[in-house]
Amino acid sequence: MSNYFFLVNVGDDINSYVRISKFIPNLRGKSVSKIDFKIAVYTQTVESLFWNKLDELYFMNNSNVEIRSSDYKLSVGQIAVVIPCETSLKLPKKVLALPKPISRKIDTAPVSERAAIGFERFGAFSSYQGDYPYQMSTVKGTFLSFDSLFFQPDENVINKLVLVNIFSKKLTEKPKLYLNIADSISKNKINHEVFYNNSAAILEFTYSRDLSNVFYSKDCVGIPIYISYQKKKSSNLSIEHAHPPSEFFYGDNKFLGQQALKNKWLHLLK
Amino acid sequence: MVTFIEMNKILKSKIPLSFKKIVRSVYPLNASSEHTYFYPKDSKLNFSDFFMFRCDDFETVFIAENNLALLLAEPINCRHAFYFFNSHGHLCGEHRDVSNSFHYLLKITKQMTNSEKIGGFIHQTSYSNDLIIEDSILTSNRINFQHRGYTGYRKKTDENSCYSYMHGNFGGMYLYDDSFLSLSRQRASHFYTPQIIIKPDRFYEFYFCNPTEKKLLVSISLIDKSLNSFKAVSKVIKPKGSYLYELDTFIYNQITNISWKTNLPVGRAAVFENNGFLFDVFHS
Repeated sequence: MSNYFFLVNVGDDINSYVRISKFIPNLRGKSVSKIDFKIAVYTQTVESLFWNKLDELYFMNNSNVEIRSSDYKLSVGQIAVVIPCETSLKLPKKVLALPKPISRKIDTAPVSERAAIGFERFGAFSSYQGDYPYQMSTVKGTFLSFDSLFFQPDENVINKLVLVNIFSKKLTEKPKLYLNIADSISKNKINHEVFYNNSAAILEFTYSRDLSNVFYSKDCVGIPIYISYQKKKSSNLSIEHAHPPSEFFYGDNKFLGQQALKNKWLHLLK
Repeated sequence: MVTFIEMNKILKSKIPLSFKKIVRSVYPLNASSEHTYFYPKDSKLNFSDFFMFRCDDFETVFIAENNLALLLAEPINCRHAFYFFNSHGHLCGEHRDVSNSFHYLLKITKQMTNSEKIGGFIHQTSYSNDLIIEDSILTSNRINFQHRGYTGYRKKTDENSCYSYMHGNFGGMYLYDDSFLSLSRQRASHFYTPQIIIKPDRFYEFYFCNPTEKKLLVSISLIDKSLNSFKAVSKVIKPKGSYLYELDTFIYNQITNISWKTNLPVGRAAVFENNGFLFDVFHS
């Protein structure tokens, strides 16, 4: 399996970064090993169906590379896709479909090939080891997640759900996509945010003490990132991504569990 | 003329899927298989990640999921049970509660952990009407519930700040016939290298736990700017036990990366990154 990574402008002076190393994340054998590759950075504006190349980066003599959203002029909600590629791959300035990322797996060791996806705000920092699976970028799908990462009892906390969507294949049009928030008990919709493929929906909302919010989209898949912080500059920053509903289940057929759960919720949520 | 590759494909297509799954999952056929293929086939069993609590300089909260309520999209009474283990792997406390909410919030206190400051815990659930589970999609498809909840931490000295959250890591732990068992297995040695850059002005704590039923050896290596690697420490962690490794970047100020060897196919750690004022927590 191979993965993309992403930078995103979520506003409010929050910068995002991707840190990735040459070291293979997990392997068998006798010592740590490296793999050589380069990194492509592509972005797409809301109006365009083309991906524009922003950068092409090499490790040179370093073990690690850090790519920052502040190095590119991304508008709020705009993403830049970070792609590990073969060093010999020619990268056109404009493409309709993204290059497929290379796999950094070299043996049977099981691991999702991740990078550090992080955010910074006035000296506060938070990251997670994340990715955007290539396979996920080839399907339209649906999205469902709960607000289990938003228990923040202080009233001055700002909570944002950021849903990042990457569709790596050629698009012929960009219809409106909806990210919705509803009450999980009554199933009534509370609010929604309109966005488009290859961008991020940013939904700011009020914290619910009983964690009763549910987020969903009937239009697309995406990686949900939960962000919490206080307005004051000295605030801690909390960033984490949520497990997909398939993780509520264990077993060879756990995706049947996910299918049943999503069908039930998406049928009840309007 | 049929080539070797084509012949291989034809042969593979003739092998039943269930047999292929066993070959892919069973040690030693696959020395990177994370968990045992064989466990009690009981739909009421539920498997938990091995989470971490900190009652030292931190407050810990845990967001537990009511999986049956989530599956059926309606509130259902759930008996939640939490079992706490100290760093030596001994059971040091339990906490139980009933809730019908989709999510249950647990504030972990020293009373729950019998004053243990750091350790691991697991989450188990049961339902008053287990027939619901018997009738559900679980039984017919050999699926079990899994608990991968979210642990939040904040410094005790900063009670108005945000909790910093981290999702669960694989542990596959469960309670069966009054014994704590695990699906996790130790296999061939694996090197795990998180995709992080060690910063010289930060302080790092790497928290390793052992969800398996055997002692676990962790050998930590540090890598400097010139790509030289050297062994920093080795530690044996008892079953259900845990170990906190503190990386002193004042001494190791040329270090940029860290790696460790264990017999876990995916040997992740929880990482606390601290700049002396603010902190971050994440799974490696």
